[in-house]
Amino acid sequence: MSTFVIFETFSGTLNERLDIDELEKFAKGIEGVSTTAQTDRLSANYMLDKLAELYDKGEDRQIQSVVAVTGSRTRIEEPLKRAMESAGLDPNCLVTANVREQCAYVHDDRRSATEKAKMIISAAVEKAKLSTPLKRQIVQRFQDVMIVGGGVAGIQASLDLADQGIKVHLVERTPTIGGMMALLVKTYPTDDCAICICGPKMADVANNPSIDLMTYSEVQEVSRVPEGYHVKVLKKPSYVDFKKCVGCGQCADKCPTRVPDQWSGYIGERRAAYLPFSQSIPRKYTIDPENCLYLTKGICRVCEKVCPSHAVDFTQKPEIVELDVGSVIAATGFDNFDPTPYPKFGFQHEDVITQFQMARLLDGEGPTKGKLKRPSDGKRPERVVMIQCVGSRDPEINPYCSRYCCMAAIKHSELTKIEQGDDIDITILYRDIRAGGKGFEEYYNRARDNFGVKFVHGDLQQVDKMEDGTLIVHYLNGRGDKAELAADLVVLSTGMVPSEGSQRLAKTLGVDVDRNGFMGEVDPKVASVITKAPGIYICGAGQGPKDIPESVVQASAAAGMAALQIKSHVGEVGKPFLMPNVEEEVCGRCGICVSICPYNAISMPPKGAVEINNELCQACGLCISSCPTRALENPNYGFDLVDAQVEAILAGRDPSKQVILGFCCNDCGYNLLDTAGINGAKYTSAFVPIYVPCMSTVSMRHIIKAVNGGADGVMLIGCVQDRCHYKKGVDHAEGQLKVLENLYRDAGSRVPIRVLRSCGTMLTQFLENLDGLVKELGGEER
Amino acid sequence: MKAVEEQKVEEPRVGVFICRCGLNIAKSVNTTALVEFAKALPGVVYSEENQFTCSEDGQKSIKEKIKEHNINRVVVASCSPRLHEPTFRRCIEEAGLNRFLFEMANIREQCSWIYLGQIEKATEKAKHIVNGAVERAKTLEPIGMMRMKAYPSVLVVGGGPAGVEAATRLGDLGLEVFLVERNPFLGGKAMQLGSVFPTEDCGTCVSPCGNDLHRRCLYRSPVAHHPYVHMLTSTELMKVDGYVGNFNATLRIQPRFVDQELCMACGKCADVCPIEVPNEFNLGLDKRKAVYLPSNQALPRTYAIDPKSCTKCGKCVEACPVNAIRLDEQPRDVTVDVGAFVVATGFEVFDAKGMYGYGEYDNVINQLKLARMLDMSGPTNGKVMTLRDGHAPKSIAMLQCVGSRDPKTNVYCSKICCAIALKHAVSIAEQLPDTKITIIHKDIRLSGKEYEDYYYRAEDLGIKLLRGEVQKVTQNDDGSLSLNAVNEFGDPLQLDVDMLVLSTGVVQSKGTQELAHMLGLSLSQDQFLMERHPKLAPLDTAVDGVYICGTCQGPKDIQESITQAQGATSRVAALLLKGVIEVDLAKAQADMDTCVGCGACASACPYKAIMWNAFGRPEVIEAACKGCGICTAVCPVSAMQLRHYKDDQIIPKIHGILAPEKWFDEDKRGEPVVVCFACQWCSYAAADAAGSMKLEYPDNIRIILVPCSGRVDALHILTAFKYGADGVIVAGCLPEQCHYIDGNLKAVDRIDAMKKALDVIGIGGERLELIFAAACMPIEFAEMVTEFTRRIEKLNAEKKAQQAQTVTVK
Repeated sequence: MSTFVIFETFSGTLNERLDIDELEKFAKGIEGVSTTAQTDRLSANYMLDKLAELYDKGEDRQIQSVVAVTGSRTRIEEPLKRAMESAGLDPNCLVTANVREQCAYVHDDRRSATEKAKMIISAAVEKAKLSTPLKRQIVQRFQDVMIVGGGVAGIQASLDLADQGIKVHLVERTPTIGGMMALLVKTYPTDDCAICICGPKMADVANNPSIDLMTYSEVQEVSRVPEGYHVKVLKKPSYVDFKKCVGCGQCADKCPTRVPDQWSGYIGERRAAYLPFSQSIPRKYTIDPENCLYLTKGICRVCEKVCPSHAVDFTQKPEIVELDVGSVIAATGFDNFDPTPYPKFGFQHEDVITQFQMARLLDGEGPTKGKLKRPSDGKRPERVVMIQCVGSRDPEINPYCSRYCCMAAIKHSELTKIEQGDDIDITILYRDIRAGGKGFEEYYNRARDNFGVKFVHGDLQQVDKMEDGTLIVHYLNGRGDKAELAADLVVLSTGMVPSEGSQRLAKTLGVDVDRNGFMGEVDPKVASVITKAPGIYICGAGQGPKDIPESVVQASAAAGMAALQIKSHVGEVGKPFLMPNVEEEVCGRCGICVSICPYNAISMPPKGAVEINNELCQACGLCISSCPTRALENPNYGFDLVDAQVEAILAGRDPSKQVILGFCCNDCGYNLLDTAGINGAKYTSAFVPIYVPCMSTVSMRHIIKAVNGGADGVMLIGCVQDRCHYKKGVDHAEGQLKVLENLYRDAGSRVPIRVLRSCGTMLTQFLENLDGLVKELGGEER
Repeated sequence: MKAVEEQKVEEPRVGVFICRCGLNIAKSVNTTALVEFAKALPGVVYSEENQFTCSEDGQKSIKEKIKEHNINRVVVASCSPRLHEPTFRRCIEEAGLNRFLFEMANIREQCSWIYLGQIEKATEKAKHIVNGAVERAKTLEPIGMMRMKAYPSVLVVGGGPAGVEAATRLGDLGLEVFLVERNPFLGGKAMQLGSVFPTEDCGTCVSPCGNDLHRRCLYRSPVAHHPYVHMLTSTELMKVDGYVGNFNATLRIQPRFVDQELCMACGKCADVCPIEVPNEFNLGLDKRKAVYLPSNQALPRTYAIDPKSCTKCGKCVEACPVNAIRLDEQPRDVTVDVGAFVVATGFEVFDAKGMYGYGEYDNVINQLKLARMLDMSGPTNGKVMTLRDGHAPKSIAMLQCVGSRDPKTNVYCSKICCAIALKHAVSIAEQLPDTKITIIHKDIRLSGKEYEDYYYRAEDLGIKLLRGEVQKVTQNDDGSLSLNAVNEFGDPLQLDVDMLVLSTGVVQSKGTQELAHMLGLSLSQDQFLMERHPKLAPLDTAVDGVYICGTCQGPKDIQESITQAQGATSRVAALLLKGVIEVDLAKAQADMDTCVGCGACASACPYKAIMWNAFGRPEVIEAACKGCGICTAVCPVSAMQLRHYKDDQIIPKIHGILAPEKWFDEDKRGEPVVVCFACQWCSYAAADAAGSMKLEYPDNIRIILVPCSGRVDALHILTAFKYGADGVIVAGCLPEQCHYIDGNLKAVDRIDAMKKALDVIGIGGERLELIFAAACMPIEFAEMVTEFTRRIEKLNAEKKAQQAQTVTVK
């Protein structure tokens, strides 16, 4: 097996700054390099032709790896990798050495630049020699998708996927789909009635043959298999045979048990046999086992007697349904913040209600048939005060903004003015009115200017009830002075909190939970629906507070990603095995790797060594560099290649000259050095870069090896704070550095090591840091 | 292409389903009375009311009743057909009826919402509307569908983060993608932002993060080397033909003057180029050459020559070691066949010229310029400095809502400026801890996951948030600025600062209007592209096969834009991955026996969809016909007819909606009756919006939906007058925005001619009017129809007086 080294001269321009002929001669002399070539312009076609030529002429049939000595990988790496594949070589065996932007362009002296280029080339050749073809996993994924949550996001995602001809299992915890949206009376800013928008979509779900609707069901177990996920869903007994139930409602009419109705914000009542709301889908009754007299006390069974179609069936048992799905979308939505534990909001007073309750009061289908009545005496309120940010933007409760409450308050004010009479005085006590969406500002202006809704800026202090029943809202105004508002009805704009059970579901699915309890995406900027569990996507308010249009958009996005997931990997070359091998005899089962893996890819079986899941593993190398017994190894990727490169570089150094090894991550680190080159920045030629997938890959061992081998300084270049592309890289680097500093200090020596948290554009910081390091080493400034 | 067999329908048996829509309709319209009314109409065999007809129950009931009563025409009286016509069409289809045997009576947007609580008035109008719908329903005919192949390719317009995301994902799905960007480089505004909230990494780090969970810098994006993506920079969309699944787009590739294949970005050309101009990428903070790369992260990384500043001196040609420079390169046009469009054309920053000293005083800049300063590899290496003297500012004020939330400029909120201002303030405070920073705002609007953190960070760093307004900015001799401001209570205060940063808002990007016209899209009130429905279909548009994402739809941040792009991918996938699409055959049709072969139809057709056959007669190419009906209106012998909008399908509706003889009492008739023919794209939508905004306009405006204002012919207008209309309005899209190229302009000529004719026959040309209303002009629509009605009232009064006089004289 041999290595082929190609030099690109950029039509000879690189020769001005580097002695390419000398470099080629140097490369020829490296053990393992069989053939070299020079070209004006490197392209995929050139490489293919060259490889074919060598093969045809029988000159070199042993080539396994190729080193391309060229400029930035950006232009050339992908096409060359594809050419490798066409030539029957593994793309993993291509190594590009950037001697242009990262060497020739940043050093004025041709001699020293050439010397540095030699080091870069020798490192690249060592890396190429060790790189071997990777095993690949080819799987046909399960072609079904499971969607958890039947609110508007889950509905939209289901319909989108069904439209693409994909079979969907829609799992909803409650007896109906429709979620919160179905209960919101109207929707801002168009004032379309919520059920008019949501209802037909719900009907579409019920009628779509590609959608398997599973209401009153919960996800119980999710296990990962190479083809996707094996899921167990618990179907709770509704004690009504859906095949027989015609939805007549006799059971509910005759049911003697009345309980507060969560579907009307606990204002009205429902029976133990119930339909959540009149537009429920499916339109089948459910018997609530917690309140049914027969199921709790063994008496009654009235419903069974009155049901004309004999649909009531108390013998029903919980049922487990097993599904095989290629992808899962979690659209678990939100719950309304419960203000009960905080007396300052006055929720203990009867006439203090939430916006959700307000929506139910304004709904023609609601408990008051659309008449706004105070809960205490059923009278029409004359003065209404709405309080914003209840349970939101409060560091002691929830620090985040719930985003929809400003608009919901404005909507309910307008509806009240239009439908209940414009003599009702409405004041909204707010901190900032956040009307940032299409048509929102116009809606806000209309409420203020046309409908006479009053907006008062202030911070709520306390809601009190006077003896005559009047509510007093105490607040601090914009100056910080005390002020108050009197009201007959106070409406709390309660924020969004993650829905009950969603965190448990997240854990089951292997999805992160963010610090506010919502489901965590892999990247807040470019991947708000993608999670770190492959094939699992999130959308809607379960990912974070958002309104209906945003939820619908996210649902489509999640559906798009899910479709891509189950359609990719089919008949194509799958994901290569980049995960480390585990040496069974050496693994001490300490569990460090299990706990630090940012992707939860490592598990500890009851016996034997740890196990790594290739699909979850992103090959950052953190486990290898943290393993105390060195039981993990990745011979052809990442960690183990670093040592060889360090050795190669230091072997060729001129002892009279300084060498600073720069361990750079493949993302921001590489880009940073490219930026320096393009900008024409100059820095010391003592700096020689080594590329690693991530700072996670770099361990103390590499640094010590570098120092013992004669490196004068070491620099670690990773990504900015909290923005490592593999989550934990720079933090790990800094941790390693601290330990090392202590070690060296104890040993009485000091080795200059720097960690730079940089993004691809932070050129100034890089140059300053490098200068500092050079000075510390006693060398000269660039 | 294969037409599905069309069923024959016998004697009409109409079923009328009245929706209460909760209280939306029932509050103003006596639906029970309406049911009774409908039952009595000839041809109606059944009528009922439902709480929500669109719900599963309502739909189930329709299906059951169709079977039970052998109904063969269905009328649903509920909301706008723009909302639920597809829902009900699907519903009756499931019951075995052809989807075109359905008519919707809009008694919500056009009735109950306009006359809130005025039950008598609203019910009366609802009766007219229902009667019109029933009369039309009786004349409806089944129309089949044709199936055709769709091109498995997509044209993505715009190469910002949204466009790149959409292109990559669509390419991953195996669709051929043409990514078109009119600038020589990709990345859009995101490239200029330096670091972006909330992640504070670089704005260029937006390349799709695929199943390997690995986000990348844009210039390493897979889009550049994607086997299915054609990256076309310096390219503009010139012309679009065709229809869903079968579009044909003409693209103009402007010369880059540098061969992308050869250029290796060595920069020797720029070294020798003698021309220096301000670098627009850095908002003039530094200079670039006429041959340039705008930034380090530029994609593609090949030089481009700016023809505006290049003098063609030829120095670069000599210097280029690979002979990549082509100074004589010419623009060239290419055409591509695509099945769908994804529009991601982004936004422009509001130009604050002339406001608060912007463009006049050195130290008044906008946030984008500040972003360039804060960029670590930008022109100032990340240092903030006053432009007058280059010192670090000791005090900075930021002013929010410049060009947003302001009736004088743009009413809407630009959504991203608060977070940008806070992000910049926080990074300045970290860089220059002694600098005093004040943000003058109306409300601090942070609307995204973890954005609220900036609020707390700003508080910790001592950044002052002042709720108020700036009234005047003056420059002092040393270049510092004095701001006259008021706080939220109206108390005046003065602020002296070294630098004022204006948070200028987001406005539609240049050329949006032309693009919208080319594709047949509408603009919303805020001049951004309009989605089909904000909640039902936020990524779709009124044109099948055209999807929108990113800031061209309205202000939004990178995260939302990218999510929208991913969503648009899913919409395109649902359309194109099946390979076959269905299009209905509601197209024009010529009656050979009546046709006199004059050729008027063929010359009027905006799409050249009418061919002349060997017998000297017109033949409609169904795939090319878009169903505007313009040919129908010009046919002198009514031989050309548009299916579903034939003359004898429109005239009964006019009759029905006016129908004076049945219940109309001359004495009660207070206001004049006006018939309004509204085009399905803009004017009807404007009327709907007027309804949902609860704008009141005269109740005797009876709206009739037509495909285009160009479809309304003299016959319809005369029919309206014949059946007792006092006035007729024809409403179309804005002059340059017709969805059928120039149907509304054809209407202009026809209405002018008709006015004269009406004068001659004694009705009076003043009783006819053509109005233009875009979908985003509900207020204007209400005003125009109100004004017209006033005019008619006056004419009626004059006529009455005249008649009285005539009587006296007699």
